[in-house]
Amino acid sequence: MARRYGGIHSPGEAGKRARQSADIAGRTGSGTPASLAGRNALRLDIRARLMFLLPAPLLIAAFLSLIAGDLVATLLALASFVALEGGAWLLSEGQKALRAYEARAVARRPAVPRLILAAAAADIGVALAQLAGGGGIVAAFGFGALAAAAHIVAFGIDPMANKGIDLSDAEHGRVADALADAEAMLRAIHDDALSIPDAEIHERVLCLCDEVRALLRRIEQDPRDLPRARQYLSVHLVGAREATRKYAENHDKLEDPALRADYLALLGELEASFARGRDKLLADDKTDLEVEIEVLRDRLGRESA
Amino acid sequence: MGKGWVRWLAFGVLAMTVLVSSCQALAAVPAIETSAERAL
Repeated sequence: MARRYGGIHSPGEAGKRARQSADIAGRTGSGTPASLAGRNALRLDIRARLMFLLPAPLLIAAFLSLIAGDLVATLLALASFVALEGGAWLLSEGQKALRAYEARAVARRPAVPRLILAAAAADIGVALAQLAGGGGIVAAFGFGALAAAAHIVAFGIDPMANKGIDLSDAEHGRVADALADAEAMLRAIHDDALSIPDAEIHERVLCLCDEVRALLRRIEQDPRDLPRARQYLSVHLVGAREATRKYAENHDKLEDPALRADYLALLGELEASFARGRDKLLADDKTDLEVEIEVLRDRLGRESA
Repeated sequence: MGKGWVRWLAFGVLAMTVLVSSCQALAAVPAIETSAERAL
């Protein structure tokens, strides 16, 4: 069902609905619903995009060699093209993983060293292109090595160490895994919500994701909070994921305004619940601190007596 | 930020290496004779 888009300043029914929604979001503690706090801007690296375009002449070379009936040249040009394009893909995936690693306070190092593999693929691709172009083995090795070295200087290598806390023991490993799982689930919720053609739902889901990310940042700062936050990450977040998936699958068929209202109400409740969870973690920390101060005060009192 | 220009320079070297190698491979493709050329 098509739904007219409307912001809080729009006249008529659409604006009224958006204002009510903003009101609900304000009551649930998320502040301004249009706030961009905690959201990552989409970052595009023009250099990484160019790496997809630069090997294009190889595809033409492979095509022309095929017409000319030169099988070896065709295979060399094709293999070189595949290696360079594969390297460009590894580079963009590696940059995504690097940005995710940099954005978090607690993270494992990437399991697959994509940036290093991208440099190796550039090495192989350039060497094969040199062979296809009639260059000798020395030129192939030399230019391949030059390309790999330039790739490493230009794009860097993958992080080699775990970050934030010592993740060597199992407990800390569990924290990093739980945070990674929660992030993956947030991405899935976000993707499902984008498939629903409803601006208000997009906005509310983004608010919910902001609230969950605030809770995750809290756990990153103090990983001892994880057991207390477990129910939010397992029960509530999984519930939000399932509800969003089912609503995205069925809203077209059912076209039921009551269902939409229920779903929006659920999002509001979940958002409020995550906000309460974060406040509770802060309150628990405060209680811990108060107990510690009390104990110290008692001890000082006894020693001075 | 100071290392930014080094990264761009390295990218320039990489881009030129890939592009020149690709164009060499393209230039090395033997010319396809047309039927008129073959008849001559």
